[in-house]
Amino acid sequence: MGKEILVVGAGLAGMTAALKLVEYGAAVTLVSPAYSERAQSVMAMGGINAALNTKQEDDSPEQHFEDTMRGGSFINDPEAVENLVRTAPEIIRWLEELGVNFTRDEQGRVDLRNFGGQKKKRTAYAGARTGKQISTALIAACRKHEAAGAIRRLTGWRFYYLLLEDKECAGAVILREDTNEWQSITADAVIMAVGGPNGVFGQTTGSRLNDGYAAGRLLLQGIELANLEMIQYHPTTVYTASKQMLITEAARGVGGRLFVPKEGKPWYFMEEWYPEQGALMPRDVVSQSIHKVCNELGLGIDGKSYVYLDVSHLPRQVIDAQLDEVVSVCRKYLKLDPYKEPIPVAPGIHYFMGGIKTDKEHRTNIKRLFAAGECSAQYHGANRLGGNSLLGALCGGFFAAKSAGSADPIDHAVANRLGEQGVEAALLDLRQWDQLPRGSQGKFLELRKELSEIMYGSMGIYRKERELLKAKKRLEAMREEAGRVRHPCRFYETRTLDANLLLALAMVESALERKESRGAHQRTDFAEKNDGRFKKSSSALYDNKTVNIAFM
Amino acid sequence: MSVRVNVLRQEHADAEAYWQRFKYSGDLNISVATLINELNDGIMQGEGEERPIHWECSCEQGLCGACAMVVNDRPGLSCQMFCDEILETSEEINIQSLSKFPVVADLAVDRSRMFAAMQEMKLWLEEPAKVRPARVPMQYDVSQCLMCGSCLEACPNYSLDGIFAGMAPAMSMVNLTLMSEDKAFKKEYTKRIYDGCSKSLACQEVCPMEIPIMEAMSTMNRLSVWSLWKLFGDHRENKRQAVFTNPEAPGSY
Repeated sequence: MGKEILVVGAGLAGMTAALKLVEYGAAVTLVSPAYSERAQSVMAMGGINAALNTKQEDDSPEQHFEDTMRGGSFINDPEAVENLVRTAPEIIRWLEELGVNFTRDEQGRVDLRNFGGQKKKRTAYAGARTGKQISTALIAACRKHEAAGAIRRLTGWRFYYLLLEDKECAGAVILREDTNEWQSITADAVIMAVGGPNGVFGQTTGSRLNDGYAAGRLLLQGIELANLEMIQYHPTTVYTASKQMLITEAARGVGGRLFVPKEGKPWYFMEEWYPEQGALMPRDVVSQSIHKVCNELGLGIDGKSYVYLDVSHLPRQVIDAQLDEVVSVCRKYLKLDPYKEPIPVAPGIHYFMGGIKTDKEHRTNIKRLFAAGECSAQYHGANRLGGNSLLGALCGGFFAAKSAGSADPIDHAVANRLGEQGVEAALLDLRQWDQLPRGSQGKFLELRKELSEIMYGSMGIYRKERELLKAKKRLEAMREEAGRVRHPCRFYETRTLDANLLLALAMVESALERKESRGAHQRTDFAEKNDGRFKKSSSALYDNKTVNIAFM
Repeated sequence: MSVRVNVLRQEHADAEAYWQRFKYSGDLNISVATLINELNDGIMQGEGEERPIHWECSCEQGLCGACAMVVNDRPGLSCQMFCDEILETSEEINIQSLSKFPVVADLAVDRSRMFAAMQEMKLWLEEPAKVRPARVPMQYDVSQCLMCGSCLEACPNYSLDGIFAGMAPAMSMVNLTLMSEDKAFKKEYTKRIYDGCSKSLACQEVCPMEIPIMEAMSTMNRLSVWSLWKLFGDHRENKRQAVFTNPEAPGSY
């Protein structure tokens, strides 16, 4: 009999894992809160990296490896990155077969363009919406197996917790958010593909569905997380009333320039400071430069913390074909015409390099538990390169499926017992929630907003010990306070706040312990890189009611 | 200045629907999605245990289709409809769920029928995709479909139990046809799309991705139904469709 595998999350990592598992003869249960069309993957614009070497630039996977490691300040897992860059061309071929509408060059081959932190043209793309175009193709491919019964989709369900015994995973309990129904899914292996924890900060460039519940809950259950302090501020995001929106790196990839007015003239600071790559330096460097221009030199637009991104000098057809999404965001949400005017941009939270600690096979510290996509940490180290997130999601799906698909069959009697106990305990949680004091929703909302303020305040582009210690102290107190409040009607929302607070604490503690500056983690009190002590991943483990941070 | 906002509430699938009136007096240069967030913050800060407005939301910037609803009688994505623009032609803002689908709660609806129809229509590739560069731009456009359901809401022919599947599944079918065989989906297309469409084109009018639906459908008709150049050799098969053909129409084969 084939393996039974539970995949949590139906974005690109989850769908890829499911498709590969079907190839290996497994039966897949694919659980997600919403349809794959709603996943954050559809928001990925820019492209997917692969050293296809079709631009006569003498590119190679070795150079892709070098760039990825350097971009990540060498705390990425080199063995995993080796897999990533070697598998990339195969992934592009696979996507072509599935019908992804990549933009083509004059010879009809998949076109490649420049992206940040890489000197060669290596980023394949599908117009201005690469993630959406890949998603459409994968959704159709999954549909075939759904019809045949090899993939069972459960849409509208949230991960609640893992079924665990003796550091071995036997499945998970899931919750139907709308009705508070429970279900246990036992499995030979579980793949977590739940995305990044946007909810801890709120108003990131990503999806609200990626609420950060799962990572916090997994930490509580003893799953090891890594590099939580490594949070990517994308240099070019725009402020809108509801959230920060991304202006794709492609805008700089095709020649967009960053400037601020200085002595009555535009000053292209990136081009002056980094003559070779200019605005296409890795994202951490660009964000830190913008911070310096605004906060140290006081040259931000209108005295604030943003600079201009200008694409108005580019040929109209380049903007039309490759930046239509930028045009649409600017026109709709900023009422600004990027063909004529520069765009005011500021760094905003875009990606979490840290997450569930996984090795090159995508194994975690728990037997039968695997992770892929943004929620898992191994490929990107201290900073992710543009075009490597879609690649990481797909590659993670490939490798996690391979590993999960070769798990030994689980003891069904044990798994079923854990499943029954898991649902019983969850029902008890629900009853306890129901008994929490009524009328506490105002306080609930206050805590949510305060969490966001604390995290943006202490975990910005530059961090200092005093702020981090203050945040830690307050988060500890807030965890207590959160135990006494409830969302008026959503059990899951209440639990998400608890999980977010724990994860936030682990992020702050990781940042406190990394007493150096590396990649996305910059400390004003430890301004230098310290390879002797910290050329390592941080690891966060929850044990005995405390978060323990180690470097390994 | 404060604005009246009316929201059609319904606690759960079997509950009675009712209109709730709100007064909103903040910034109006915001999307309806942001407005709902603001109303919910107000509800949470209020006395008593009032239930926030339930709705679906993911990207908040018009890329995921989750938040489709009807605002002042027009279907669309709430994150792409702006309060100040709505108030140019109306005194109030009226927000309700898509009416063609069963309500889950408040503004959230169950759109599973759309997805089930796509499975029934076997919308997938059986062979690796064929790449024909001339076709890629159209494939790209129709692949942008968000499956939000706005087109079905606007459609005079679509109903939940009807055989006509509407333009959301049709876009997937056009994409898959263009990258496989021209006749691959002919039977399903004729039965579930072509025969039921009265060409009101309301779908194209409301599509938040501005997919050129009319162009996509004429391409699909040409490839999959009409077989223009075979017409004279096969009267029997094309008799019914022949009345629509225009001998001047450019054909590519």
